[in-house]
Formats: sequence, C-alpha cells, structure tokens
Amino acid sequence: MRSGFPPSPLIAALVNPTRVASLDAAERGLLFQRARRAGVIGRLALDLEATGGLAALDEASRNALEGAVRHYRYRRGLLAREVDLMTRDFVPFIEGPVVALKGAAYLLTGSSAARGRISADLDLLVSEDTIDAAADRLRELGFRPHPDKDNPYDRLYYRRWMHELPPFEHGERHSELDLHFRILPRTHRYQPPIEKLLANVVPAAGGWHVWSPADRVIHAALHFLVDGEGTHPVRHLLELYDLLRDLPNAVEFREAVVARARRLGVVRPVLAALWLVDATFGAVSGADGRLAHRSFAIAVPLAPARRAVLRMVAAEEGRGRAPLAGLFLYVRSHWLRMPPWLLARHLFVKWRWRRQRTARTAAG
Amino acid sequence: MDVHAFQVGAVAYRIEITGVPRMRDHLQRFYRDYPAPPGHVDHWLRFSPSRGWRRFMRRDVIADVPAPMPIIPLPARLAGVAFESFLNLATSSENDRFVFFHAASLMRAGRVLILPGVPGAGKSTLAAALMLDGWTLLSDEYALIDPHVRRLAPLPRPVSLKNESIAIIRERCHRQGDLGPVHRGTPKGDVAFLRAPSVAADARWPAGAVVFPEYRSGASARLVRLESVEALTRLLVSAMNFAAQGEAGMSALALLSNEVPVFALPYERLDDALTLLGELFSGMTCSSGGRG
Repeated sequence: MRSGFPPSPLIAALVNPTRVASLDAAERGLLFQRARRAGVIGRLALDLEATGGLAALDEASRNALEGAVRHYRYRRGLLAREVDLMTRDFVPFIEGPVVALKGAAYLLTGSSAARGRISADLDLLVSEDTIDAAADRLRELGFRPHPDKDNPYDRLYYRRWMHELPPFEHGERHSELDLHFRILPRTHRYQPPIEKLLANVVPAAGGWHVWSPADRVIHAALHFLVDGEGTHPVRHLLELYDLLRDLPNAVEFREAVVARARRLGVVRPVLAALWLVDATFGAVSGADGRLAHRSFAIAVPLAPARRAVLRMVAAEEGRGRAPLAGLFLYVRSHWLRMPPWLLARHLFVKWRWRRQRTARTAAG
Repeated sequence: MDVHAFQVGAVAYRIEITGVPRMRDHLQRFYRDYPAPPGHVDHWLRFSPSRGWRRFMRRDVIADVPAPMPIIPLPARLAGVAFESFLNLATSSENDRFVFFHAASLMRAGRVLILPGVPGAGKSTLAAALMLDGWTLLSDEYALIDPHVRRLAPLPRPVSLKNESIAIIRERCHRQGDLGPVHRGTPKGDVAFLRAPSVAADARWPAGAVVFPEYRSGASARLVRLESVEALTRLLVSAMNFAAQGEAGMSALALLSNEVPVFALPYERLDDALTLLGELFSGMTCSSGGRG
C-alpha cells in the first residue's frame, strides 16, 4: 500500500539522538510511534534525557518521551528486583554457574545494551546436569510452569528437543522466567557446543555468571538471525551495535568474535549479523566497522536473509512494507529450528497425544 | 487517498484513508470542527480495506494499529464505528503522555467530574446528557491525567451512544445534525455518535469528584459516598496504563481514589441524576474539592 507518511530516520536518531530536535514537530510524533512499535522508544528517550536534548523539544514531544522513560524505569525496576531475589534465593543453591542471559546479563554487566531495554522475562541458563535441581528450586520459590505447557507431553518435548524448559511464571509476582540448558534447540541446524560456552563464562555481581563478551555478541547474533523470526530487527541490531561497543578496541574485539564464532561452528550467521550492524547502525555512525570487515577477506554469507532483514529494517523506518521478507524470515527460522521430517513427526505425536488426552478426559 | 489531521483537545491525530468512502462522511460530520494540529502529532494511522483473501469475502476496514490481540475487521458499512474503535485502540495503547482511565470526564465551574464506566452502567448516556446540559465534555471514552500537573486533559472525541440511549439523547439534542446516523448490527448493538465541541489543547482542570454511574431500572437517584479503599478497588478496573506509568500511575490513582470525593450513583431517571450532579458541582466552585 502506498503511503503519504514520510519515512523516519529511526536508526540515525538512535545513533545521534540530537537529530530528533531538528525534525519537524509533527514528524517527530511519527518517529516516536515507529520507535515505540520497534521497541526502542525507551532507549531514544533515555539518551535524549541524558544529553539534555529533551529541553530543545516542544512540550508534547517531551511529555511523550518522559512517559516512555517512566515505563522503562518501572520495567527495569521489575527486572532488577527479580534478579535481586534470584541472587538471594536461587543462584547460591545451584551447583555450577548460573548464567544470566540477555537483558539480565546486560543489567548485571552495566552494558549500554541495557539502556532502554524492556525485558519480558528473566532468562537463565544452567548446565544440563543441574537442570532438574534448578527446576525443583524454582518450584520451591513459587514458580510454576505455564499452565498451557504443564503436561506430560510438553515436559518431555521441551527436555528432549528444545533448549529450555517450558516457561515458568511466579504464582504471586506473575513474573516470567525461562530456564535454559542450551542456547539453541537440539534440533537446530546450528549446534554451538554448550560446553565450550560454559567453559568461558565470566563471573558477575552476586555470584552470577554471564557469557564472555564475545559469546554475548554471538548469542545475540544467533538469537536474532537463526532462532528469531526476524521481528523487531532495529531493536536486535541496536543490541548488537551496543554489545560490539562494550569493549574499547572495536576492531580487535570483532576479530575475536569472528574467531570464536568459527570455533563454535556458527561463523556464517555471526558474520552476517556483523555485516547487518555495519549496513545499518555502522553506515549511519561512520564507525570503524567496515574497515574491520575487510580483514575477514571472505564473502559474507546468508545473502537472502540479509536482504530480507534490510527490508524489514526499512519497513520499521517507514520506507515501504515487507510482507514477503517477513514471511521468508519466519519460514526460514522454523526450517532452521527443526528439519521437516522432525516437524512432521512432532506434529503427528502432538496430535496423537492431544487425541488420547481428549479421549481420556471424555471418559473420565 | 485522503489525509486528515486534527487536534482533539490534548491529542493530535493524522489519518490517511484509502478506499473507504464512508469514513470520509464520518469525518466530515464529526471531526470538521477540530483545528489542525499546530505541532506534535501523537497518532499516525492508515485505514484501508482489508488485504488478502478476506477482501473477496466482504468489504472490511482495517487500520495499522498494533493490538494485543488479532484485530477483527469491521465491515465497510460500519466505517464510522471502525474508525472510532481503532482510534480508541491506538490512543489507549500507544500514548505515554497521560495516565488513562476508562471513563468519561466533564468540566463545570473549573472542576472535573470523572465517570468511570463498566459497559451498561450509563457512562456515555450521562456524559452526553451533561454535555447537552452545558457541561464541557473533556472525554467520553478515556479520562486523561496529565502527570505533570495531576489535572485532567481534554480528549473530546464524539460520544458513542448505544442502543436505548440513542433515543433518549435524541430527545434532548436540539441541534440538527449533531447526532449522527444509527449504525446497526455492530458488536455492541446499535451505535450512534454525538458531536462534541473542541477544547483547547493546553487546557488542564483539577479533578472535582469521581462518580460511578449505576443505571438500574427502579433505582431512585442518590449519591452514595464510597470509602477510598472501595474507590481504589473500583478504579483499578478502569485504570488502563497505571502500571506502565509507574509512579505517575500510582499518583493518578491516589488522586482519584483518595483526594477527591468518590460516589456511586444508582439511577433510573436521567434528569434526577443530572440534578444531583449539578448540585454536587455547584457547591464545589471555590472549595478545594475536599471531603464532604
């Protein structure tokens, strides 16, 4: 559908928030709406607040951003409280490292990727031999598996085929928690060895562990490009852009990330993810990224997926729509997660189990 | 493609409509008096016939509003209803400037009456009748608290009247054309809209009282004072984004449950309810809205 709405410089505004002030007042509202839908309004608002850029805006724009900051602070408080409670009640009770993933890890390490980020749940990882003890401890703390998934079929399915247990929800706080034992499903095309990741964890505050800086980039890249369905590309690319700047020497760090990815057998998606960061945030910031890439001296893989992601980014900025790119990335993510013969088997077993359960319920 | 931009009280919209001619009629009738937005535009929405296979089944209208649930498109003949409900959805789910309560709000003598409504309680009927009685309508669907000043902000979109209340308000409405056509067979039954006058974008008024209307046949109208705990419990049902707004949300809840008088208003006869509310607000002009 053609639209008369102008595109919004969403990525440019994230890289350089003072740009927001130079936008036409009406179009600023459109930028905020797009940033909100892309899941990055909290970040934009925090950065403008920190740089004193809010004062240069009209009152309505300022109020809109202040509201986004209020929302972010509230959600960040919820996550921080969950992390605090688990520091006291969970981490010391598990043998071996408890790895905080994604938002919780960024919070614990003070990464810029935590700025403005709203986490829907707390993501943890423990080694597979402690997963039962960890799940028992969570139950003692009042967490329950999500009622939809609390049945023999899903319990077995998640343990045998997935990378996490069925999602937990706390009975009183209603906070959600995912307990992982791998970073990608067992059925996934890519199989980065979990022992190698666990061997490199680094301690964080409160007895927690987090992935090494390079592994944090790799996990975010895999989550975005081979496990995720391609939604919210700007938010994911911003996360990678932040993680890549967490260490002072960007060029060396990137080379370390690529070398590590190669050892983990996931160099293709990681190279593609770095290329995408350069093509979006890097292109705007004029950062050192492209130079670093030349040193790889190999063709960047995953061309169709990269093209599709760029189209999705364009759609988030209001430059056209991307229904086919979205469909392509969706189908691709499921294809990677589970080969078709396994998917057929999964659907058949699930159908048979559901039918038996229905029969039992009817008989009982 | 039509483009419409208007400032409805504190909130500005820009609307693009493609291929839904009836929507233009709705906008012509109900939105022509709102001024153009002078600056910031909060909500940018596109309306179009639904895409994909559905369009071969019947003519539907959709908007590009991200919703918590899949949006069920409304048929094109209900374009006016579709327009209003998508605007409600966009406003309540994508606006961080205000704390939203599902309530009508009206101003008299510088103080605001807030009418939170469960469906069928008579919120919109009462709001329409009060407006026709000379009160300034701030909003029919959402009462907006500006967290900076803890006062009510205006969003005077058309009042949505349902079923029996359409005839009741038609009797009281003397300006031809203010009450629009009746849309039949909507998810809420018959619906008609009543035009509301524009209110200045920067107008903010303090809360005067919260009244929960309770329309019941056979009830004699009276104002029943509620304890603040009961007021809070009832208001929570209507508080749409107080959690997302953090402390500003709590502060708004405290304002409406504990700092102004809160009443239940059982009523059957509309005129009796209007009299009681008029008396309540006539004594309030210069007082601080304290406990009475």
